[in-house]
Amino acid sequence: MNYPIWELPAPGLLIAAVAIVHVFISHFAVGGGLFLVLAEKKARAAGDEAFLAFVRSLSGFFVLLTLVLGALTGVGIWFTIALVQPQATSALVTAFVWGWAIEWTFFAVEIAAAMVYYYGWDRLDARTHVRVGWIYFVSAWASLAVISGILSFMATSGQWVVTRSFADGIFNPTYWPTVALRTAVAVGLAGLYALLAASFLKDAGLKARVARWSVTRWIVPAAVLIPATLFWYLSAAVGGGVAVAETLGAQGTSATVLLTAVFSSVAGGHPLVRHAAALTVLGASLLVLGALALATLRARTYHWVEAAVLMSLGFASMGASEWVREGLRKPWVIDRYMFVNSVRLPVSVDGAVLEDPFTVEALSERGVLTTARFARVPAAWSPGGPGPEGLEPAARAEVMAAAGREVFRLECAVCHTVSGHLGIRPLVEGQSVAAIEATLDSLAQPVTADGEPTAWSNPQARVETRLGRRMPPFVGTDVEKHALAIHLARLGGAAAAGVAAAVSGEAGPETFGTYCAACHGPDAPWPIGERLRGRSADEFFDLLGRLDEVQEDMPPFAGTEEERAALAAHLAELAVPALDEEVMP
Amino acid sequence: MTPIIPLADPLPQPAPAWLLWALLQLTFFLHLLAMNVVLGGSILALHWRLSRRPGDAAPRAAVTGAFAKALPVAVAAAVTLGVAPLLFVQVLYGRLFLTSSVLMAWWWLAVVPLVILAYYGAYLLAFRGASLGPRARTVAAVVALLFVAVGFLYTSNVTRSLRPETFVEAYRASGRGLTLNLADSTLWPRYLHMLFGAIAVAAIAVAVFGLFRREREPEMASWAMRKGTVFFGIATAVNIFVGMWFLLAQPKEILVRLVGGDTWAMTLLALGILLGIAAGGFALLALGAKDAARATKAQVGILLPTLVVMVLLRDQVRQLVLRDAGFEHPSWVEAQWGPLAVFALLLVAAVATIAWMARALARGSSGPGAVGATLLALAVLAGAGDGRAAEAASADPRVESAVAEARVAARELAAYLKTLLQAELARDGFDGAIAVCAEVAQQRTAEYRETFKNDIRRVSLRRRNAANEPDDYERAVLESFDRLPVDARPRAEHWEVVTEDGRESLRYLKPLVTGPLCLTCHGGRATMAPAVTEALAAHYPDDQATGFDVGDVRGAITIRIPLVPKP
Repeated sequence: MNYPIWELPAPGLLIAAVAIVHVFISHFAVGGGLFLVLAEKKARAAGDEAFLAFVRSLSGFFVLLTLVLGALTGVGIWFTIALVQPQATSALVTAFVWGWAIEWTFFAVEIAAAMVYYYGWDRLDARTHVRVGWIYFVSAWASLAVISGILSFMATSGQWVVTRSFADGIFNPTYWPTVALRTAVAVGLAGLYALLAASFLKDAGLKARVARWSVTRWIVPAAVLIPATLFWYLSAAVGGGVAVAETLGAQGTSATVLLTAVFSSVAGGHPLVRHAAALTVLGASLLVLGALALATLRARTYHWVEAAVLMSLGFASMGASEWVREGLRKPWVIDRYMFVNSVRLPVSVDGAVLEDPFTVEALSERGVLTTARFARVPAAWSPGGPGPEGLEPAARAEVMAAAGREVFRLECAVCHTVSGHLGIRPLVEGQSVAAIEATLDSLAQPVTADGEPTAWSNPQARVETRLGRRMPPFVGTDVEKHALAIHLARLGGAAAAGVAAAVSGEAGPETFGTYCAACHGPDAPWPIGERLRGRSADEFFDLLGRLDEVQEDMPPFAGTEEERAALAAHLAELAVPALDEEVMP
Repeated sequence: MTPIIPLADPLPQPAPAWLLWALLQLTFFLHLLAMNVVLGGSILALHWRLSRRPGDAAPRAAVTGAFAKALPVAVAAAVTLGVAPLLFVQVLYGRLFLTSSVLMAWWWLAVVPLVILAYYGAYLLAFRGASLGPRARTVAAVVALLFVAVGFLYTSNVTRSLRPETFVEAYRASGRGLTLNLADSTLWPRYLHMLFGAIAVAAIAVAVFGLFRREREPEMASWAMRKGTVFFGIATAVNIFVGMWFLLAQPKEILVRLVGGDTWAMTLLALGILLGIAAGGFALLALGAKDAARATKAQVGILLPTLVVMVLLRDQVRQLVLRDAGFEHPSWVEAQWGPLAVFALLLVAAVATIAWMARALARGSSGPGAVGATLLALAVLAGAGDGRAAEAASADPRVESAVAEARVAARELAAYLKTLLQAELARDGFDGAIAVCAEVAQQRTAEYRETFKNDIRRVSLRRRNAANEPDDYERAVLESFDRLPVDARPRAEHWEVVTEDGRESLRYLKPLVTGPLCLTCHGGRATMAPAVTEALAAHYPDDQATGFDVGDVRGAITIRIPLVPKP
């Protein structure tokens, strides 16, 4: 709302692509750093020259991968989040710049140590070289530990929403579990990498030694630690207010219940997140089994392709887990401070609520189209008022639809494309304007931990969402909501025969017979025929709501909302060609 | 019309504005140094790689080779040091910078893959430069072009961020993120000003490189200092005109303040112009100077304050422009002194750790101070290689083949003499072997020299045979071998291209490391067998070659191969 929006379908996927690559490389860099230094010590202690040469060759590849691709994709995440969600990026930087500065000091040492370690094989004595290796690992791990503070804060902000304290933000409910989990993952990835690197060794004995060491000392411990820390993370998340059960479509939060829910075929929760969770578990399990099989049966002879397959499983599992993490955080981009579409909750300072035009209340009062700084508002739109006035119904409907499209772009397009990823069209297919408006009203509600309704301004509020889809609430005036509904209904083909098909074929003519035929029937004084030309179902729906404005003597429509919708559809069927445009939000 | 600028977050600033400002200027200055070496250096190195001028092939190759090895380190430094100012820009000017970034979103994002490509290109040149042959020039050109492009994208973003009055219109035209700030009259002069500045700084870096190497490689050093000065002078001279263009392209209101309306701005501008002209003058004087080293130091001395003034002036212009546009820093500050203090402490610890590691690496090298240690002076990060053959990035195939020849010869001679010694030992015992050594070793070496057709002999700081006295060059190298860590000695070697009397040669030395067997004749006199000490006294009256331990450098095989002059 505050910043111009970069017009890109499914921008979240762009962040995901860059982020998953970076996370994979960076975690492997942490674990790999530990692996290198422990392997070097082991090789030197055993006087194993061949193993030492192997470690040396690993460090070269290491440097090339982590210094360039690893570091630059990290910067890449920063670039992509700033472009896709500048509002959240600005908030995070303002609140945690010193956190990033601290991370940066570790990063600088890490980079320098990696280079000195690589260039120093011949030039440093053994003790110094190993020391540099330790420095590398410790600083790499430390930078992970620091950035985890900011990342975990986004999902569970803890006391920060009240205190705005740096420490409260960093040391939030899911901080320590995050650090532990990511460390365990790093250890596992290191073992995977060593397995792949060793597959190229010609010396079968050395190859088997390295492979077994990688699996027994690295992958297996990780296989035990990861599920343990993962469940620690999930319970901490639940404690921090994350709707783990709801998102995964589970009835409870114990390990067995969650696992069953994730693999169950019963619909519930957020489908994409559930599938991602399933992939996480499957990928990791297959990986562990495969690694064990490899180490036991094929340690001397395994081919690099086998190790690469295991590596890919690791990559897939890890990428899927990051997807789950993001999904669990929704609809927040910053827990209890900012929704994914940058709409905020109000901030209080010393008991007084700060004036902020981008909060749920402010936007619903003044309107999204008025408040957004870089909105593209249709010319005839009168902001804050009852909508376009004094226009022909057809023109009025066009302006409404255009305004609705802009509302969609401002608060929905950050996640929803039209027909692609999280496409909106299938979700509104054949739905009437009234039905869509009702959905918009029920997207998200603030509730207490016990499920009682409360206000958005309550810092303990949690979000209960419709069907567990983890949506943010609709914000905007009633007119804007109606406009959005009109736009969405058109997308869903509601003005076409779709609505008529959705509504029972009899209801429309029946309603007409009940309320209108007396004056407007074919044998009545004012047959309706001609007046129907050129109008859509929405316009009829609208008109039916203000019949006394249309004609002084007309009684207001006395039927139910369903009847009104059915009648409108019926009238449209009689008169108007379908509106069928491909509209890009 | 008031420019539409996004509103500030309803959050307090994490530090007073002056502190954030100071940190921004400092970190940007450091980034500028490293970035200039990368950008300007890539351009200069490309120019020298493409140059066909006869007569300076060797120093050109040496400098481009050294730069190629240092470039990955320099890029790491530039990226690492670039993170900090970008962070502080986001805190201070995020509302503008985030918006300007969105307007050119795809272009801005492209910086990441462009830098990744350039970075890998730099590693390719560093590690595989020799085997690339003529293709190295293409790689170097691509690397330079990539950095040139990245710089342009940065300039487009920065200039846009200073024009909030254009935000709405630009966004209305397109929200797809493909809009560069080409219509801005300050874009090109600003970009070129940075570009020529980068070349100037890199040229001084080359001169400083020569300065550090002037004892070891006097010919290369004097070339580097001279060429560095030339390019520094040219780039600075051009930049004076580009700077004028940049100044005149500013909006009128800003120009008025720079030339008189605002005291501080005017002072900075005047200082900047004066220092720029002085820098050009120093370069001119340096060309005629007798003492190139002092002239180089003087140029460094004028360059650094010039850069400081430029950084401050750049910021002052930004502040003037933004004030006019109605931009204000939020007044709500809740300084986070605790986290800030932690950062400050860790920063000190980080610098100390990096310095310790860099020093350990530099001390461990066999040749004159590592190239990267020079960079360290500029960019606080560890150095890369020197003349070590293991990372040889010489662009010269003659040198490559000469080094290979020398390696083989050293190995052969050492093996030959060892076999000879062992045969004599078996036949006559130690005293017999010593007798044979005294007569035969030199003879056999001379014979080997005939087949090898180049100078080859053994030398030592504590020689047994007077003919094995090292010359000054060899003495220095032998001393450097002594400084190597013990386990590095067996694989060590030293080579260098030297020019004597206008002729280029490769000088090569390979240390001979004392083994356990050697102690019988070269160990401590107290522990030697009487038969040995008698034989030594008889054949080598002024013997110096005793008192060695296992692992000591006993001496070295030294080789000289003249190089065919380049066509």
